[in-house]
Amino acid sequence: MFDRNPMILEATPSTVTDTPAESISETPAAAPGIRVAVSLELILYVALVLLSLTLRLAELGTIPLSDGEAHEALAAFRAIEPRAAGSPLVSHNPLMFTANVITMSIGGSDTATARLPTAILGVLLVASPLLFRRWLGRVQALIIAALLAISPVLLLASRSMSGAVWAMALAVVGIYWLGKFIETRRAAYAILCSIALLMLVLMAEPGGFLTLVGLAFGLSFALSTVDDPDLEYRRAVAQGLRDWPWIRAAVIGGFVIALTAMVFLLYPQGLSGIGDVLYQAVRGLTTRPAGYPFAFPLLVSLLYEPVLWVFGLTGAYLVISRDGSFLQRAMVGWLIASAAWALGYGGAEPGDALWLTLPLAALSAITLEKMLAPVRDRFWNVPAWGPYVQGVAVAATLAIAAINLVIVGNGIMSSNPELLPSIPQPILMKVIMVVPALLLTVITFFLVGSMWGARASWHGTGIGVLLILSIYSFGSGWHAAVVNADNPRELWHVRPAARNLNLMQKTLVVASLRATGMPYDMEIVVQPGEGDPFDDGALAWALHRFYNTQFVTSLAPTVNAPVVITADTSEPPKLGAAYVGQDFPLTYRWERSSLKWDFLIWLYDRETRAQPNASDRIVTWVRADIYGLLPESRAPDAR
Amino acid sequence: MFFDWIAREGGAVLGWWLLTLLAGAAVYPLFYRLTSALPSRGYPLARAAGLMLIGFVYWLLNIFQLLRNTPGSTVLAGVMVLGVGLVSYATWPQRQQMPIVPWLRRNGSLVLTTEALFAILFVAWVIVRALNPSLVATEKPMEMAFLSGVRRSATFPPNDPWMSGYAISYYHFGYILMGTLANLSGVTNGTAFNLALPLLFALTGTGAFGIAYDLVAARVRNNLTPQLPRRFAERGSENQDSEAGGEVSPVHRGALGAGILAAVFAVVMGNLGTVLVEIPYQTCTAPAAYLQWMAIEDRDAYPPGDGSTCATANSASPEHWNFWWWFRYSRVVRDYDLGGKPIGAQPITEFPQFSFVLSDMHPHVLALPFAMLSIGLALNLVLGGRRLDPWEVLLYAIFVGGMVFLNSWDGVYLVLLVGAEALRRLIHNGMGRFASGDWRGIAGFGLALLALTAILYLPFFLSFRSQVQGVVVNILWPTQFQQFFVMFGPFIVILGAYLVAEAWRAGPRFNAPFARQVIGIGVGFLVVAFLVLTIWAWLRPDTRQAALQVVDQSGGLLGVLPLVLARRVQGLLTEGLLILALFVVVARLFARPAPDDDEQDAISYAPSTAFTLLLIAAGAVLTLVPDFAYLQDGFGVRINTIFKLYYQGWLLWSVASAFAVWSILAEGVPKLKRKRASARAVEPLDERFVPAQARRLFAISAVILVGMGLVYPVYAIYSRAIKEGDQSPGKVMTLDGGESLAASPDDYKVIQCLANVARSDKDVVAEATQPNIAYNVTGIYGRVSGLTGIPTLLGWDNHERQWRGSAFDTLNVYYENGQRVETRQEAIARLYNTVLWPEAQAVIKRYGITYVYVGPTERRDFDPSGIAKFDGLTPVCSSGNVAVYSAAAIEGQAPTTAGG
Repeated sequence: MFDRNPMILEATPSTVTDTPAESISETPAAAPGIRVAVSLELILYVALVLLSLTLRLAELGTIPLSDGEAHEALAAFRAIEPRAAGSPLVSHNPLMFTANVITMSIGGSDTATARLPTAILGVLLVASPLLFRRWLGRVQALIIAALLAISPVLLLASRSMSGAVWAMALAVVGIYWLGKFIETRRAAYAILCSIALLMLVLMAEPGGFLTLVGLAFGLSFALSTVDDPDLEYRRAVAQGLRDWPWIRAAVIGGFVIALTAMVFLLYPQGLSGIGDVLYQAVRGLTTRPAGYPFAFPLLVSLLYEPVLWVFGLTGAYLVISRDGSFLQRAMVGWLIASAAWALGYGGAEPGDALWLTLPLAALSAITLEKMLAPVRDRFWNVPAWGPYVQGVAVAATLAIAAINLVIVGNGIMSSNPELLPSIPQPILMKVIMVVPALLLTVITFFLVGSMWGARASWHGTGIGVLLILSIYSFGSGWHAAVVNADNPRELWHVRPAARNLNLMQKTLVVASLRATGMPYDMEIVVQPGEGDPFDDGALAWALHRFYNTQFVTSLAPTVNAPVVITADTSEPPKLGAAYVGQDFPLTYRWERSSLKWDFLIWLYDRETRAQPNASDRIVTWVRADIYGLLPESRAPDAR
Repeated sequence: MFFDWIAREGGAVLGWWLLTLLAGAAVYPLFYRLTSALPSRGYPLARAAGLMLIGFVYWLLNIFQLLRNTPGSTVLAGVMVLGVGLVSYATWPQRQQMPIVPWLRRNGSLVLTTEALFAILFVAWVIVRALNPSLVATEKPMEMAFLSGVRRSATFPPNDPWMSGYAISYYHFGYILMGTLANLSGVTNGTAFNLALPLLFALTGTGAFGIAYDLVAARVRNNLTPQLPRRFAERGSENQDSEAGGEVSPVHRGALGAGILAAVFAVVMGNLGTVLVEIPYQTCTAPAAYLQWMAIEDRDAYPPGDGSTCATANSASPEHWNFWWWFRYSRVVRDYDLGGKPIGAQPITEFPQFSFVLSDMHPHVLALPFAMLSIGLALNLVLGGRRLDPWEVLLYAIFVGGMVFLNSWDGVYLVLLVGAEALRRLIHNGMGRFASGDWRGIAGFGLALLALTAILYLPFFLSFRSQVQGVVVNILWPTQFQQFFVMFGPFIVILGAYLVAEAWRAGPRFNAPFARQVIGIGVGFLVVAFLVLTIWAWLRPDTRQAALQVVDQSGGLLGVLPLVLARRVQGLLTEGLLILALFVVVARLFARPAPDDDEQDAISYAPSTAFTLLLIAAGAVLTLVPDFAYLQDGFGVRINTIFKLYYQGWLLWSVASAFAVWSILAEGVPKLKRKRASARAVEPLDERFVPAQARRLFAISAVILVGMGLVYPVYAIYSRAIKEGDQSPGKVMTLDGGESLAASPDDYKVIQCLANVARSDKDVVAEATQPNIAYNVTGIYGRVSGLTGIPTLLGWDNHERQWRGSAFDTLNVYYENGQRVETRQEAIARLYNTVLWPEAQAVIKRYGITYVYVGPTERRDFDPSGIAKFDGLTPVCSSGNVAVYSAAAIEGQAPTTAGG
């Protein structure tokens, strides 16, 4: 099967498939009982899965949902909870909606549960290279998994209910089933592939169709660039199209999609979500959401994943210049298409940087596999540890340069420059320190080159760069996902919900206990600010357990609910009782345009001279008698 | 001004064009297969088909709560239609012979002409509307209310903006179709209204173009393809397809020309009133007796003096004519009581061009493109020459049955479709009569169609209350021929000539004896029906009383009879001509075998010819019926029966006339004959060329009459768009006519603000109303609900009564513990007039009011002291002295006298 089919691509020398693991997987039925073969590879995969699970689950529920996440969570919550306050919402990600409905039905409706399906899917995506192990080779598959495990974009997307994670997961299984179909010609694989790809377009996220177009472009790019004198590839594709069970796939796909969107007929209106995905997809062609920068996914990818760009582009160069395989060329095509979408598609979310992450990771794996392999040279006898030692040295010198640059950045930020920074003398010394550090890197390169040859020297430098950039990427991902989760200076977070919402929730629980004796039974009246989501968004999610919440457009002077939440205005509202107010920031905003010479420190530490502003402040008015703050005679007779 | 307008609103225009293109593209794989018998493969009708099928899926899924009323759901409905279409196309055995893309490439001239025609008609009427976008007058406020209500409602059936708590009880499918387009494009309601009209204009014109094209192309194809089966062309259009590179052949030119002519007849041409009455009247060139004979309202005599002479002549230019002169020609038939006095509600003789000039978006206008679609599908059935498959019957029921939901009067297209099936069978069996199996087949087809329509549109039928109370015999009001001619002059001449030509072409096959029998039976049936209906009417106390009253006033039975007879004589010419037309059609269609024909096959005409004759007959029946019977509605006279049946007659005859013009002038011209001869084609069907002299005479007559009909649009558009538009120096072209419905700019501003603030589907806004409000309101009522779609307690009560019939009086009254409390008008008056908060609060609670609107109309109509109670409240939105208050704020007021 492998040999007959040109779509199954020339494996690189190190990925010859006659491995013990492969043999075991090919003949599982022969052995009675369950056999578990523990190999280093398996241990590494388990470690990667555990690492990514830890990264995704840590503090998952302590960071409030942003408006976009809250919309999805509320859509699912209101679908399953008839007592929920507010109107039903249409999900922008029907597949995630279905998953959320199921998990919320089982696991309750807290913030962590809302994020859990996407986070778990993110972990599965890390492990997904296992599916392609036979085609990519063990090493490349493992490297891809490792890169995905530390990928900031995948980490952030997995932790923030991004539809892009669902789209990528569907794309990956779609590709896998496509490969299986080409191998086996079994209609079931084609049908599964069709379902996955249909779901990708209709149920994952508005940009899902671009992922599909990107994959198709990748395929055609590979077809047009691969060396194919006998037209084997073209014939195989044509044959595949002829053999494809179009009608069955369309009918079964349509049925499965309708069933899934309707949460298996439990929530018929879920179909509207598919329509919404399509509508948002079309709108995204012409409209960019407010506050989103141009080429948002591209900027996100460049900022958070330099390691993938450095090694991915190198990999792309290697593929194009050194007769890369069909699959590798398809990855290059996918990357080109993804870069085009990331640049031109207005409706793209930051999570859509995954468009770039996956092909870049696959291409990086090509580079890294070569780089990490022992250097074989006709003239030099290079010890296996040599490049690694050099790599550590290079990483150290680069770290020196980076630390000095951070100090310089800090100094510049405190100098408050207008046009050009006036750098104080000590800081200037640090700038000068950067130069010898970099020079040291160069000297090391030549030194190693003179000992073991240029090839070894490149390997060592690459390992150093990999180390330093990986640390940077991993750190920036974790910071953006957890430490700076409500910091708008993180490029990822356009309008993050403030952590203070947690505090507000706790306050309300206490107030409810005092007012009603129960934590969530208190009546709350909410008048959102002008332009804020009405019964949607972060605030609505923060209040979702308070079933007696009422969203209003204006407040009657007789309102005397235990708690009234209003937008922070200069005039306090006229209410039917005495209230004590406490203001909370709902979100933070930060002007990207304020970034000037503090760019350097922002790049590393997200520190800037212009601080984020607490925008969309709300005031929680608690009726005075709840805490006994007023004499009984002045408080209305609540009970 | 123009370019500024393009910069502002060009995107919206382009957006609607694109959306309809996408709708057409989504349905095309399915429609291509469905209409495979049409030479055009349904391309000119695809936009309308796409809108309707997507709209149907969308409506049905909404009704079953599977979708919500969101733009995304519309897109999903479109994708579903596309998906089903692709599957249908992929499983079509003939797709290898007729793949879509090569077909489109080969028929480039058709595709380009269709697109160009659509774009020209659409943009042209967009400009007309942008010059005068006003939505004031007649029934536009009601239509705006429906459009806004449909757009705003979270689910279907949509809320009735003029009766809170209830769904719309009217045929509102057209508003759903336009509302979904508006939601997708995101334009304001006022802009959507003025984009919908050009869209309907263009869709109708394009549809007419497509049908006439198909008639001609199929006719030519018949003569170019082998004759077994003799009367049907091969499935497909090889002769057209063989034209490389989309080059326009004579065949194509003829079909394209006929198509364009049909578009002109259908939507551009007006009736002859301007030339035959208005210009002679305005220029004082007509004798007074002539005007009296024409008897058009307000134009039956010269105004000054005794009316026998004209005192001051205006010019022939509409510049000097009086306001809304063009409206008069939608009332060219005049009915009188026995005393010779014109009755109160005169028949409406609207025609499409008038509808678009007036720019009411009423259901009969909304249904226009889909009427063309129905005709096209009927033609497809005839040309297909085979029984429809079950899935095709289902689609036919969606498309043609949906006409009932669009405009219930257009249920006549279901009958037309059954007629087409009968015609198909007649042609197929070739005997010139129906076999018993044919009767069963026709009945089965009709029943299947009706049953499917009833099932598919059941949610609508369950909630719909028809105004029709029965069929009434028309004794007093036949249509006088001169007025009928003013209305249909060009068609009468063209179709009359065509019928003569067809009778001549039939030769010995012309089955006059059979036609005599049929017409005799028909007239007999008519007489019996007439008598039955008369007896039935007599048994009803109300009609008996009315009849007796008329008899008494006219000097008893002996006095009445001569008057009635004299009156009936006035209609004899009209009725006689129409019956004669039916006679020719029957004699031609139910042909008898020619004595010298070896084949036992009586039918020698082409399906296109037969279908044209069917259209002529259908039009004749529709225009003949109101002379003998009418449907009793709230008016009690034939105002609506004439209106709706003549309107459909216009559509049917416009298409038939285009083919007739081609048939008389071009069918069988020597050039074509030579081509056919050289192609070794088989013996042509009934190809008797109309002699050159007759052709010339016909051409001259047709040009003159059509030219006369085209004067109306030129003059009316000038008057409507230029003269009646905003004449101020800083005039700005715009499509947003919403502001014209508001009482003032402040009013409009606050209404727009309210539309943004009020987000719940359960919102109810209180605004002024008065009893007996209809289109003739003196103030501005129902504007807030109409422009926002937020239901109000009661908008125009006369319309609600019309829509809901006797149920309205029950729904309008609030009962508590079985005791009548108040009507909705009284509740509104109490809310505004009272100075006591508890009283206002009780009204708010009772009707679930969430907003109270205080604008110019409310300040004018209600007690100032009552209005003053709102002044102390903080408004939700305000501008100038217009404000809207939250009902929550009112509910919170202490139970004291307002302001106390």
